[in-house]
Amino acid sequence: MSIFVSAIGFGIASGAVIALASLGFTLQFGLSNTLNIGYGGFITLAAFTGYGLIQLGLGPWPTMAAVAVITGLLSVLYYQFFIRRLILRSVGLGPIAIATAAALIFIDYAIVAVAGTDVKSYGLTSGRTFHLWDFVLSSTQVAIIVLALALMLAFQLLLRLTQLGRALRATAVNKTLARSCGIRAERVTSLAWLISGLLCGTAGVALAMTTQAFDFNLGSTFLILIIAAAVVGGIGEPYGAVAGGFLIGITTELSAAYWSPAYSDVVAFLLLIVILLIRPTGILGGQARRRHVAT
Amino acid sequence: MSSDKGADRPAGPALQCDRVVAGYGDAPVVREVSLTAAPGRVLCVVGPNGAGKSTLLRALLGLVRVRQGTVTLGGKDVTNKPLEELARSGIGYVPQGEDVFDTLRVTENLDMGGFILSRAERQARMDAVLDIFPALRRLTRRYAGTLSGGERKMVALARVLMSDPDVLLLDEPTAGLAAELTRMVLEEQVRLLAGLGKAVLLVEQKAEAALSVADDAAVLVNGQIALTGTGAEVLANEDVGEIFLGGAGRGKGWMQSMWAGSAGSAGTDGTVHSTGIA
Ligand SMILES: Nc1ncnc2c1ncn2[C@@H]1O[C@H](COP(=O)(O)OP(=O)(O)O)[C@@H](O)[C@H]1O
Ligand SMILES: [Mg+2]
Repeated sequence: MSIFVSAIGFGIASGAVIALASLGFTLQFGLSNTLNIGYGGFITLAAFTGYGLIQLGLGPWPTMAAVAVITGLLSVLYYQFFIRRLILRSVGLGPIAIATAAALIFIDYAIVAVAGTDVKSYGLTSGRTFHLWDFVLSSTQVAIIVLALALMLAFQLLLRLTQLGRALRATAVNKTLARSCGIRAERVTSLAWLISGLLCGTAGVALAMTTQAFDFNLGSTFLILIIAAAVVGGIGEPYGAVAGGFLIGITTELSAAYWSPAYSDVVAFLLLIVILLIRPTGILGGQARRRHVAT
Repeated sequence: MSSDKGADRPAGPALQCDRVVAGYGDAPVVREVSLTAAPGRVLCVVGPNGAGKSTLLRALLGLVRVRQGTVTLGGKDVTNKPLEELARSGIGYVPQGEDVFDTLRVTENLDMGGFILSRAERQARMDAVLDIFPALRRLTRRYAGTLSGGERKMVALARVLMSDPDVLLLDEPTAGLAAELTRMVLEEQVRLLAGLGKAVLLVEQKAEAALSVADDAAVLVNGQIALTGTGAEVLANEDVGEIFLGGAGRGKGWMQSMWAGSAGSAGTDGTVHSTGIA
């Protein structure tokens, strides 16, 4: 029983990070109809930028905030000068995904060129541990869970309660109709890439904080879980990404506890395939609707 | 149809297009089309499926590139201006399909319609619009994607009215609606819009129902205006009857031959008018 419960605890901790990252990933798909494989590169970039700032003596939480902002801005540039150009030239969904895979490789090796291939660690002391029933979590993990939940809640409130958030949802579901309402869809889309970059940067640093050591493969490996979570939840669905993130986090930690940590990615993808077979639109992708890329 | 319903309101701007040529590939879909949608009037463009009606509207809205000719709003050149800027200048658009935000609630759809308004204006406008469509009051919390065809169309019309546009472009607002609803949408809602002083450009395939509510009318065949006149005149025209109103295709009129692809010369027919049409 205690193995089970502690695995659930770890699952919630890693699920929170996957959910954050997956939310950013799914937002890019929702607004730009783009399966951005390059997202993995942004995770790695965030982790390494965080490493650099910590080396310079910045504390972990200020580092996370700074990296979130930097990654957000880079994400907007990436959209403006890369993704948007491809969309304007009517490049299809598949070719764009492949172009973003090229971007992932480019970002990873740019990081290698600067920081080398050796393993890095933030070297944070694990601090106090929290015992809650059979849950055993470090204070860092608890803080990350709380932060992730707060960010996801804030994002939901933005989407639901503000005119800007509604415009974001409107643009995601029908860009032409949104424009016919006077919504400057291009700005709204840039805003979505900014938010997704903020989430990605936060997730990248959170991932590095809770990983013993990492190298330039950090993001591309983690991307597998991000994509699995987004697709399991119903790609383009914010709630789905969050639900999928926790589901993938808990399932992979359970399989690690009872089987082997080596098979986490396999388990994540098995879950993905099973869920797609049962429910082709993902858990929360019930409305299965056409997306508009029309510009 | 009476044309003085909006006479007590100051007239808004007219939307005018002059010899507009537009299309997707090499061959233009819309060829040298000139029309005027005047304030307080319903201008109805009818034409068979594929004639280029939707393309014409999309060209006026900056969604399909205008290659030749001009589009003016109240005399100002707005050719190829982006859709969001046209919306901010007072042009409202209800597209043929996908005319509501499925994943937004009805109130949120209306909020988006009033996106360019201030919060206070939006609230006041929403009350006014719900007074025009009282049936929507009990649906405000529903997601638009869960509504019936008729309800969706009401949401779409209510949404476009939120910003109180001067000009309305409606692309087959009755597509997919039953006969009774079609009559309701055209005779009550579309007429009401003109009654509010707006310039309404209505595109329809259901020629008889649409022409009977139109002040001005034009027939689009193969991307060209084949005939213009008042709604009643076009409705009474034999050739139009042949093509749209259940004719068996044995007619030999010039429109018939144009529809078949061999363009004839329009303008010899006695019913051709220039009233309200540039
Ligand atoms: N997005 C598009 N790309 C290429 N051709 C199109 C497109 N939309 C419409 N067409 C073509 O343009 C012509 C006119 O279509 P449309 O304007 O939709 O006609 P209508 O609305 O009168 O039925 C048709 O031949 C159609 O095949
Ligand atoms: Mg059409």
